[in-house]
Amino acid sequence: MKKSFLSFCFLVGLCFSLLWACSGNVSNVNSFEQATQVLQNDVLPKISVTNNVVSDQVAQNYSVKNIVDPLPPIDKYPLYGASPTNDPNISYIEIFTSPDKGNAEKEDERWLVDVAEKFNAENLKTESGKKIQVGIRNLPSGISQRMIAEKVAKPAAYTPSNQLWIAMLKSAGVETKEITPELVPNQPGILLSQKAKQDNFGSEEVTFDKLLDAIVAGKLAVGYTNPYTSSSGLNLLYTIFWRAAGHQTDGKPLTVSDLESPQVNSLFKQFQKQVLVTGLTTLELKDVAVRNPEKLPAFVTENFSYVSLKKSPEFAQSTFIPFGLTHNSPLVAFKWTTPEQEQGLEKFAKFAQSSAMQKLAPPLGKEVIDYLQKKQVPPIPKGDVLTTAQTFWKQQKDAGQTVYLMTVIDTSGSMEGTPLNAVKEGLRIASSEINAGNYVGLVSYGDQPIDLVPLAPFDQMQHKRFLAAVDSLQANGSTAMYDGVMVGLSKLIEQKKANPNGKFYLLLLTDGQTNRGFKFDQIKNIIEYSGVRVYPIAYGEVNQDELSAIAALRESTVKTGNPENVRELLKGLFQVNL
Amino acid sequence: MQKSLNRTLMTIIGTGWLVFLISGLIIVKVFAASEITLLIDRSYCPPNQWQKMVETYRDFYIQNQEKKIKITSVIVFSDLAEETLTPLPTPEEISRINTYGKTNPNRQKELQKKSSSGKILSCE
Repeated sequence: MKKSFLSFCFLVGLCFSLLWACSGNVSNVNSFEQATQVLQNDVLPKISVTNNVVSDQVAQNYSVKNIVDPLPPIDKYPLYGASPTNDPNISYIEIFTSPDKGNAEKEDERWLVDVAEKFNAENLKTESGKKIQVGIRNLPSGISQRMIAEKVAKPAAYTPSNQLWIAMLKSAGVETKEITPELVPNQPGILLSQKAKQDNFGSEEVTFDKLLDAIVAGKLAVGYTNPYTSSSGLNLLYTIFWRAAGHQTDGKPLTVSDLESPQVNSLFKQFQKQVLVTGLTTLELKDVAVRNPEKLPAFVTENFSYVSLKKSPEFAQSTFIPFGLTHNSPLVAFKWTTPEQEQGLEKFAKFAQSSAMQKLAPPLGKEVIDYLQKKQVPPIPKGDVLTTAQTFWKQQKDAGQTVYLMTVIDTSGSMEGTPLNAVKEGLRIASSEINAGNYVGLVSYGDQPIDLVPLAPFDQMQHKRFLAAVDSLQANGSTAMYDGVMVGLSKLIEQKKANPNGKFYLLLLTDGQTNRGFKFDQIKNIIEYSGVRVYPIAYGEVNQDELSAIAALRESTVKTGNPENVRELLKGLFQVNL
Repeated sequence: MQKSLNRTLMTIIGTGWLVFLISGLIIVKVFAASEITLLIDRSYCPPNQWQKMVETYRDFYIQNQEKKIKITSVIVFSDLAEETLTPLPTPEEISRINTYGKTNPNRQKELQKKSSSGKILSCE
């Protein structure tokens, strides 16, 4: 009896041991060194990697010139209020608007949509007796500016957040006619956490100058948005340059020669060293700040959003520090706007400015009113200065640090057809956004990871290798996502040992749940201690919780992609990170 | 007789101590180390020139250690803001300070006005 009991215990023990061994569980990881060791010794030996590195002979056939970056189709962006019609009794007016007031999905960003719906319900008429109906097309200010400048779209009117985009339109040769300089007042600012305020300023009043000084002196980290597409991002960039050039004393606008001075350069470089995240949206910054209040104590937002952020416990005690030009939502018409549409726009502007409509917008806080009273708002510069400032930002944003990015792409069977073709097109266009000298590599995964482009400095040849590899992507097999991630991570870790001060990113695009190879729980700690920030793109039916957990390991968020938006998404990610 | 002798003795000793104390105070006052406030301009400065400024600071720092002078405070200022550094920073800490932006003569004048013993240290 005793003997059989001992045999039973032995068998149970053996089963547990086998189960543990089969689960491929990896040892505990609590540091970068351990992560490296475990990855090399316990994980990589269990992953079979196909070596399909693109040869230089094949890569030579690809051209890096003439990579066309077509603008997205206009119907990709939502239209609210009225829709285009052929009814001769209706004068239809389409207004391109910025998301801060034209995003119907969010309570604090839908002011213009509400105004348009109320205006349309009034059934006001033009002098010729036609009913005026307004449609609101919500798209990022930078995208609409490009669409109008390149004449891809011809809306009746345009209302970006601020005057900077209009200055850029003018310098691109687009004539505008001002309907009103202000539809509704809004103001960008930096949200500063209570703790950061207390630690750095105590009970002192915090001005933008003081905050900027604390940031450039290395005391605070900050997050802001892509200045190519976001009004707040562009406004902050302009304000920093303007302030660094010392124009607060003479009140003059920034010039191109200012950007070349070591004084401006030095301040911008120090500022960029303190930038933790450059987000595609302010929502992304908010998510990172909620998860990492210590790491991201300050980020850019606008008064409209701040009013609602203040209602959440995380930001209830925060401070809003206004900066730059007012986001007064100017409304302009164009050469192609008909006189009838102009009449309609005048009526719409008047309606929007009525006190009943203004009350629908979140009120300006005391700090904004005080800021505006000081009259230290920078003047509007020439559009070409802003274009140069954007280019300058792109070239100098990494402040001398090298960026390393491994692109890990899902090529499982479910990516077949349109989904994979859209990703290939997106990667091809996004590759033009990579600064020379940064390191880029590519791994795909289906049943197993495929090594396509080794992580190497980006030059013309590496660009060609990247394009050839993207072109070779084929959908097939299951989803060994974490095996792909581990292979990508191992290459980044190798570089991190040589250059610990670099910036290390892994772009992970996946369209399905992991059904092969390593599981999340097994490798979670390796990602966490690798020092690599993972940008997951959820491209279909994915395990959202797992991707969110990966993003949360370091300062990142999950981006939702689909064949329609993946091009812009990849371009944006490459623009701000590479 | 003995009582009045004691009183005279006490007066002599008390007066002696008082004179000693007053003399001490006069010596401290007259030969005291001069007080100084250092105002460091952190506007953009090329690294080699900044190191020269650090050497100037080092001289003051050593004199302070040797009690030849007394640095009452060190204020670093830029075009954007100013900050008092406490405790007294070492020359190594000053050498690690990053420099940026334009110089601000108005802020410099204001700081000098506030502290009569202010000594400006700037890019050399």
